[in-house]
Amino acid sequence: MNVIEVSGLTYRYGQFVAVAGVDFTVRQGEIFALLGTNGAGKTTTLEVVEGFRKPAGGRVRVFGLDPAADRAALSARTGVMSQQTGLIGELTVAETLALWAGLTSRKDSVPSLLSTVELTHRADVPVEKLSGGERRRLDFALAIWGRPPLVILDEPTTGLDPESRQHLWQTVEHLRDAGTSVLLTTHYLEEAQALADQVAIMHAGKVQVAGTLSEVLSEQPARITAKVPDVDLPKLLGDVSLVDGQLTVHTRDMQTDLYELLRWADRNAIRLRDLNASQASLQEIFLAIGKA
Amino acid sequence: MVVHLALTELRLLFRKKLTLASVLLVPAVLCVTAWLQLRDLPASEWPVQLGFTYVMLLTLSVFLVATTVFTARRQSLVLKRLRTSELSDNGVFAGIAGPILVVGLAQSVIYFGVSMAVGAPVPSQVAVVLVGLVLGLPSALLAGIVTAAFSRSVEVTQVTAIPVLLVAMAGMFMLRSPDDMVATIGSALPLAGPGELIAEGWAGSVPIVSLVATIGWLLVMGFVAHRFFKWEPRQ
Repeated sequence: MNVIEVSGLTYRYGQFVAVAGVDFTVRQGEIFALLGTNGAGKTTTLEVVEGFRKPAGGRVRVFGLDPAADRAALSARTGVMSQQTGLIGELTVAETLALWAGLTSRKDSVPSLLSTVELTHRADVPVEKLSGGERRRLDFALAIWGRPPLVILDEPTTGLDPESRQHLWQTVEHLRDAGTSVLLTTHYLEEAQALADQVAIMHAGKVQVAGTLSEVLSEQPARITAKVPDVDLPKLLGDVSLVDGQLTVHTRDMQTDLYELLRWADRNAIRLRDLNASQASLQEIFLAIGKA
Repeated sequence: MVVHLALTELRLLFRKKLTLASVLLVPAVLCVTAWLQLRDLPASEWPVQLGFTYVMLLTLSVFLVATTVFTARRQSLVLKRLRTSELSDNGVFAGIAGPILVVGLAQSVIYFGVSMAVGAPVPSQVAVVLVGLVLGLPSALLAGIVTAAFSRSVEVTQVTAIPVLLVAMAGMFMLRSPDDMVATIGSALPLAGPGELIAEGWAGSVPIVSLVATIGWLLVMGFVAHRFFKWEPRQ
């Protein structure tokens, strides 16, 4: 079941086209990571999906509803965490959650959620005295209050220490496993690579590449590297280069080329030192898109 | 949900020292002043005094508090966060504005009660006084929201609030001018109208110009607030 359907989404700030024909779909119980350079249009896209901005063109549906027209109906089923926290500084952590409890029809337990975001010991501390990371965790707690079927997170781990980041992602995974759909943006590509079921990389207002992680990773050739003596290069399907004894093969058929390379080495009694074969990383794809 | 937010906001009004001073100190000073200096005032002079003080309450309590609270809530992105809850946009406004109106009403009622206790006459036209209360409080609130719409930060409100304060006070002084033209202009100025409704209602007449001007300003400020108030900080 599709929870979010975006097709041909366009959004303009005056004459500036921030989002230019974006398409993607988020299914139930999957984590969809929207990645991109700064100013790529990710936050604007999220705000359209949340119903806070009306698109200039295209079609957006969340649970089959138009978010701009049906924001009231959707807010009961959607938890949102914006890029910047918007909490009342004078309220304590527990009071903030209690306030939120009164502003949503979803039910949850303050102590349980405090434990989930590791803020139990800070329950009576005013928000204005929390560290940046603690505020983000509290903001995250508001977003997942009552376990909504859709959670939208805009750079949720920015400002968090590595331990908190890992804990937050574990919580996101648990939500996904329980059937919650998660649409998020992040600058931490390794996290997206580890967690996301679907990935889209935006640049200049457009989705440049999208799909499952393996589909996205297959956009760039895989790489085989090894240290070899100065010899005639093998003939492989991919591009082969030898610089200062470092053999590099960029290939879209890693299995065939790796097999051929090993056969070539065996035939010529060549030892392949530091042999390594890997798919392209999300970071390489991200950088390639940025350069393009 | 609106009541839940309103109760939280009400609690916060009393938690910040500056706001607390504005909410409690201003009416307290006005009541003490009424007892010390106005108790021997002739009955005929009380209406003007009550109208003037009402405008002071509207500006110092309702208008300034509304300006500060809405600017601060927007600046700290609280308004944006509240919009992600199940409250409607109008609900968010109502939840934040409600306590300000309730406190303003309580202050006014307490001040009028204390004034009558120390010698002010009973209002001759109670309905007109009530209209002054009913229109004055939202007028001051909307003036605060409009001012917040054009204020980038809480610090800036110290400047952006000045025009409304000056106009309201100028209106009250102009109302007492012997020149009919000046007095009419004064009664048409924002927030001066509700003061005149209180004063004239207490004295026993119906100030049509002030009534029409107050309703007109309510509509204008409502439109401007709806048109120009942004949920996120001004860039």
